[in-house]
Amino acid sequence: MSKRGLKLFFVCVVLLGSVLQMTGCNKSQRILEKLAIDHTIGYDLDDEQKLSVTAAIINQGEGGSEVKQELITAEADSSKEAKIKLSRQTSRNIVSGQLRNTMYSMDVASQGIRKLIENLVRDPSISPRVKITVVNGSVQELLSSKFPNHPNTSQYVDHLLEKNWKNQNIPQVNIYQFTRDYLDDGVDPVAPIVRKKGDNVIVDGLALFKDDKYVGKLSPDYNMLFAMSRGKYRQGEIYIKLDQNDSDGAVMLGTVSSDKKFKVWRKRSGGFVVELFLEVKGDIMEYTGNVLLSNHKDIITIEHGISKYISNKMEDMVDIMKDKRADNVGLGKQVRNSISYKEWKNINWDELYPEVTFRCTVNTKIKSTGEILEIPVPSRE
Amino acid sequence: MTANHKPVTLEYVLHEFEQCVDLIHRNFPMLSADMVYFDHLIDKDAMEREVLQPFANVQADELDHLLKDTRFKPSSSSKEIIEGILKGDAAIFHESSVYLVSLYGPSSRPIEQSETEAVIIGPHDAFTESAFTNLSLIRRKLKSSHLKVIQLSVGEVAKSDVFVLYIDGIVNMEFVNEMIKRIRDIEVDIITDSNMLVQHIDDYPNTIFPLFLTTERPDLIVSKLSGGRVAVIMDESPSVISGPTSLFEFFTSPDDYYQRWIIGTATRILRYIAFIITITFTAVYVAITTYHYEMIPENLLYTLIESRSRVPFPPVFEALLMEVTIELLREAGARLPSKIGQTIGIVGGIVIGQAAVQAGLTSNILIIAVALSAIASFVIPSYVMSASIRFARFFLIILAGIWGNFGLMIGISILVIHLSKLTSLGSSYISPIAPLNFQDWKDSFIRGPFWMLKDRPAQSRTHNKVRNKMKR
Amino acid sequence: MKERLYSTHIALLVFMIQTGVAALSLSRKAAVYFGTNGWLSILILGCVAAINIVLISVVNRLGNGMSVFEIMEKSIPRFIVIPIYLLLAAYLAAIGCLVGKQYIHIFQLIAFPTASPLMLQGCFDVLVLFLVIKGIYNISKAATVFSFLILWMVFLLFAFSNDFEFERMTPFVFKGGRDMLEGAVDMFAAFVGYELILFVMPYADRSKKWMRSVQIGNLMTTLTYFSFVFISFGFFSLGQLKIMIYPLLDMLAYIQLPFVERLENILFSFLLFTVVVTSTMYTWSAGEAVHHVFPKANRNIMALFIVFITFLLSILPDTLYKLELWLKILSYGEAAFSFAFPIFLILLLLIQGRMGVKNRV
Repeated sequence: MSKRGLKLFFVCVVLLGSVLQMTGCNKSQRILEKLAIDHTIGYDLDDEQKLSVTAAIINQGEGGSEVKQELITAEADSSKEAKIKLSRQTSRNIVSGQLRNTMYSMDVASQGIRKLIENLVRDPSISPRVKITVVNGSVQELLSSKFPNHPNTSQYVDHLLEKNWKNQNIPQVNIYQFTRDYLDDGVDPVAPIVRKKGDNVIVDGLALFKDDKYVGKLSPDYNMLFAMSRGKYRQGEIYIKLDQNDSDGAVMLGTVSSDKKFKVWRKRSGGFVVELFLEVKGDIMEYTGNVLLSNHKDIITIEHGISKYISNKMEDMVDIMKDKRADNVGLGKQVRNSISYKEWKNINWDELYPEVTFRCTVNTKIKSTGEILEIPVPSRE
Repeated sequence: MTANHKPVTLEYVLHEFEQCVDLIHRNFPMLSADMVYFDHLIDKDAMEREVLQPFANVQADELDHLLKDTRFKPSSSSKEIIEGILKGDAAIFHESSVYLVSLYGPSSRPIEQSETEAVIIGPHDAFTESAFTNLSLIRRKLKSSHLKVIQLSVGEVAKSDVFVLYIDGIVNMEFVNEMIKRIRDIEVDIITDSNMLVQHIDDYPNTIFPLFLTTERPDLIVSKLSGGRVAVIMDESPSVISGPTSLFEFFTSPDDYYQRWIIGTATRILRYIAFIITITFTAVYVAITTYHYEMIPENLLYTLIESRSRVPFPPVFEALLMEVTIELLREAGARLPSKIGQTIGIVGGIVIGQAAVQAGLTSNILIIAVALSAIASFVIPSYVMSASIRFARFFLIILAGIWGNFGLMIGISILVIHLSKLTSLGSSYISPIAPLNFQDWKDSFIRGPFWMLKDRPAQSRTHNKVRNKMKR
Repeated sequence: MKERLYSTHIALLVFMIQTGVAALSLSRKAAVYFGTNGWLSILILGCVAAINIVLISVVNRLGNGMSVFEIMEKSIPRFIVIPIYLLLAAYLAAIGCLVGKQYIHIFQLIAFPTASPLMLQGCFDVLVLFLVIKGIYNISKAATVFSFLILWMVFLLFAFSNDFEFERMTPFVFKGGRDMLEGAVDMFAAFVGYELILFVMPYADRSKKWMRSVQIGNLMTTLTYFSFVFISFGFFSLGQLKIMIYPLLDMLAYIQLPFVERLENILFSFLLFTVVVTSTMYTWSAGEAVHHVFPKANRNIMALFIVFITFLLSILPDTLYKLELWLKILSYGEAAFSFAFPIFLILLLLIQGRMGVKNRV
């Protein structure tokens, strides 16, 4: 009897609940087509050094017309204040659960983006995969420009970054990775830089951050090397200009893969030597020099050439970073892991960093030279 | 009616069958004998062979001698005689004694293929309405003296024959006794089909899930019997019951065993995937489009927004509308003759599907979701189970419409809690999972190779665990 | 065909009671309190729990499977026992409901910021009630199914292999943490739950195997916690881990599949299964205690009553902060209880044993 009563009670509660919920006192519904979905948020500084927020929104036109992108801008002290201001400008609820990309103008980035990032992380509806991009120029201008081949600018930039990341041209930098490197001791974050160029957007190298502040730029030539120094590098391509006397020319290495290994030594004078061992493997895709590729010995000279090129370039890259006092490769991490905790806490890494000697040793292996050996020079007799 | 000791008279029997025009009363004045029977219950040839010809060849004084033959069963109880006549015996009244001769043989459907449980390979014979044919189908496949058959009857008015089958030495007698007890305890006028009988012997009447497996396939019943389960045949019903049953038995089909084991396993896994799709797919659509827009991948986002944009209802009503439409189509298709049924398919599939999207009543992605989950539900071999699952889906869709993923999980939790309460003949309904028995997984979630399937299922609690060994 | 608890069920039941929402913040606590390589602390805590279970099994062996209530009633007068029972019941029920409330709160945080928490909580409580009235045997069966529905999630850890880096873990052990002891107690809250086995004892089958399966259940919990805390130490940097409130949630949010993104939404819903079992078992244990106070009352009505009271109780903490504070205090008590209670019972049993010997003499 009581069991039946209980069951009746359940049924009543459940029915009542469903009726209440279904009949519309449910405010938490976020029905897809009734939302204005943030795709990209951009941050600029205007002339009065005030933050100006631009949001590219995926918006559903009235009455079932095509989905298109809309751009709205507001001036605000913070991104959330901007959201409130922005929502006055659109007929739908602005939501940020589908946010893909955040863009920072160089001015914003050099002032430090810690607070902006912090609020992105704080909002549980924002994915940790939201990209962080630095824009060379005005973000608003970039987002509002129309590119003839790409109707949707924000999406275009997003896909561009995604493709470049997949090809390992640039490191993947999203909120999670940026905060991770920012909060780790012994490594500083980076972010890709994009720039408008004519009718296209191009990746314009890497932004080097010192903590959360943009301090300098690494030219796109270093993209590959940076990727190699950061982690395992797979299936990439690298173009190398050899400048040895006997094997002048350029080599294009394809299907490059590399493995890295760091070693740390103490200098007698105090300070550290960090050595990066790279093992690079690849196939020759293009070669313009004079060496006979059929000759095994000569391939070794090419290998040496490539090794030298990479190691020089790598050392240059670290020098640039040292110059800006930004440890983006993560030398500090290597040093930290080689000494005791007490010592690590006692040294001031920021001061020590420029004094650290960085060496790079590369071991290149050419796996193959393609489908033919060489087209012989026509003999003139 | 307590005329057990009085000799039963012809008049009494005729009085009992008053107003039964189909009763035949035949008089043999030469032999001073009377015969009473139902013409349509007996086999005419047998009548000719067993009764008429012998009667024609004897003199009046030899009749007594003839009636001593064992095929003439003397009877003195009026109840027995009346039951006998109703069961297709002919009652012969001679002098003061009455004899029953069994001539049962009504016209019945021949053994045909099963419509609801079609097979591609494997035996094609299916049970018919005649219990004896069904028994014969089973005996032919199971030539063992250990196969025992107990006869019971249900229905206070209808008195249908029910046979309980089991293999002695394999079955756990607790189940047999429980089954017999439950069938005996049924107090209703009439039961017309074994699917109805099942509901009278259920452990829990208020559940959407079938607690016993019913099938039309003799090979399936034979394998269940040899697994140590009990089978129940009901006369005049083409489905045979097997029990105790676990939920996962509904996802197996004898076909799995007729194919190579890898293929059989793949098919079985496919059915479980179908189960998951049926039960959750539309609900997930509703949950995501109503609450969790952030879960949609970017490539799908634009298509979804576009197709949803013209729909005037919230997703939950949109989904319910389409689900009900599909159910209507299915029900209409099932009721109509097969030729018109195809038309329904065309009308439903193309006209409604296309038109509904173009008219902006539903989004085309929902149509795909609904259609996919409907198709998936038909992959499940048991029609009863597939209907139950389709019903459960509605419940989940509504919950997903109320609370999104949270509602969906609440719904799944309720289903799981409900399922774990259920028992079939007192043994757990979700058997190889709880009570946990990994050994049985190789014959329920996958179809292991035959060398692996050495043990009988734990659910049948047999004392004779190892297959292909019979205790003598 | 008397129903009994199989030992495999007990292992999974213990696993399901132990795991819960506490797992979400476990990596942060390990990072904050233990610092570098804090994941090692999980193993230590797991061992502590295992030792505690040994204590419980001693109770089981000495008492020969007697229920804790029988043991207490044997030597303590009823008027003292009754308030103890009521206190116990109130305490267990409070934990049960707050665990559920915490889950609801977090769910609201990530998916339903504007939904009424009462509604969600009510729905959750109905679910708990629905399970509690089914009895311990069916609870264990449901727990088994639920555990299979969430165990597969362990495979998701492979999704992080790309961003996992050993270098991030540093070679230092337990450096940069603070208040390790307090932290250990705080983290231990994620492990408690196995002590409810004390109340399940009389329902289990008599074999000695089932105490081992409690250990197995605890081992499963420890390994699950260990695996994802370990992964999160290589996935997040230490500084990041310290500021994330629910690192596991962020990890899940990072998984991306071609057909679905932001998996934390759906995966967090899967945690409902374990939270329901946890909450149900606490409520059930509270019900057991109350049952011994009012032996004649109808169990289902009592369950309804308890769930209703806890529902009212769960309205009180209205912010996540307050709620977690309450839970922290309660789980301190719970940790103390899970050690003190078996020891108390062992003492009782020893005294009883001695008295029994005397009586026989």
